[in-house]
Parts: sequence; structure tokens; C-alpha cells
Amino acid sequence: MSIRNLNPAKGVYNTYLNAPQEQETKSLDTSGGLMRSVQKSMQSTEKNLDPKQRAIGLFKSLHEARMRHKNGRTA
Amino acid sequence: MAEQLNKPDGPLFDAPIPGMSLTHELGARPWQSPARFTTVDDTVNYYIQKLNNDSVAEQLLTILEAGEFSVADLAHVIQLNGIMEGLHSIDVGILVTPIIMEFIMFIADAAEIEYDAGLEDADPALSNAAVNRALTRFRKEAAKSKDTDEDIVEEQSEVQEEEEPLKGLMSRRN
Repeated sequence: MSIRNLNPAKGVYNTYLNAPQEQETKSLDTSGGLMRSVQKSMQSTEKNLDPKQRAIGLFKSLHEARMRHKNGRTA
Repeated sequence: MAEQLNKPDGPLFDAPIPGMSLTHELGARPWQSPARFTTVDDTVNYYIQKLNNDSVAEQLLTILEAGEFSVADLAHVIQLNGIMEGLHSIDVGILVTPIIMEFIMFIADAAEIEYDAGLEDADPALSNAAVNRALTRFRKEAAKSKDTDEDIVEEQSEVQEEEEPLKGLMSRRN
């Protein structure tokens, strides 16, 4: 058995990617630096969400920002 | 197959002895005491600050560029280390892993580095090779036992001819 089979990261990543969004996520404005944007996004989203939804929201906004950056570069 | 490859030839003497994990007092290890970060936000904040460090990012990019590790493996190791250091719980670690992965991929994309995300299935070439090997072995064995099989089949057909066929489940035997 390889370490990849023991690694839950792939499964969780795909779950997050296919998860339905319960609330609209604000897209990250990465102009002021990625770290600052993520921190800003964390402050802006509602605090009373359950941890999984918080994580999915953060993940989606990061994923969207990455895809935007990637597509912008290739376009 | 992979298990057989990883198995050492001789007995393993440097394995942990039974009870070795209980040689310290309860709470002496970092993961036995309450976690430093209890929320997803705090944990993500910690990791993003850590990974955003230039020297750390440079190390990550070097590892990814070498192609030895995938992003999923790296993120998993990073969060496991966090658990070991008592930074957060296992649950929070698993919740945070995809965010770490995304952040690492963002850094790699920004640096225009080609990387293995680790999201694909296991290498199909390897599994194909294993299937081919099994097929070859099967064919060899089939060729070997072909003659003996034919003899057995002949014997069985002779035996079947001698037996009287039953007509149904509840039919009487004569």
C-alpha cells in the first residue's frame, strides 16, 4: 500500500470541490497580496457557520482566485 | 504487490516495543495537551502566514519542482506535523488540508512551476504492468497444466456417462 492510498487529502479536496455552496462566497481580490486577501476573506465571512462550511467557503474562494489567476495568465 | 516490495528480507528488530508509547506521562506529549488553535480560521491563518514566508515557499517550490512529492502529500505532511506539535486537532487538520493544498498550488502557479497535484488515480502504467505480468504468469501456468487438464476432463466425462441423470430436485432415486 502506497502512502497515497493512506492520504485523505485527495478525498477531502474532491469533496470540497464538489460541495454545494450554502452561502455566496466573495471572490478574493489578490491585488494586495494573497495572504492579506485570505485574511480579509476570513474576517468578512460569517463567524457562526459550522467549521466544515467555513473551510469549504475559504477553499472555494482560494480555488476561484487560483483559477482566475491561472486563466488570466494563459489567456 | 507493493506490500511485498516494501517488505524487508529479514526480521525487523528496530520496531517499537509494546508499551513504548506509554513511557511518558499522559499530557507530556504536545498532541496530548489541548490544541493551540481550535478553529478553522485560526489554523488557516497560521498556515498561510507560515507558507507565505519566502524561505518556506522556496523550499516548497524546490520539492515540487523535483517531482518527488505531490501537493496532496506535502499538504498532508504539513498538517500531520501540526497535529504532532499540538497546534490543532486531527479533525481541524483534515478540514484545513484542501486549503493548504490550494495555497501551495497557488504559490506554484504563480512561480510557473509544473507540479503533481496528487489528485489523479494511481499511475495506470504501473497497474497495467502488474496486469500484464499476471496475464503472462497465468498463460504459462495454463500451458503447463493443459496436458494434465485434458486427462482430467476425459476421466470426468467417463464418470458422468456412467451416472444416471436425475430428473428433478424431488425425484426419487432408483
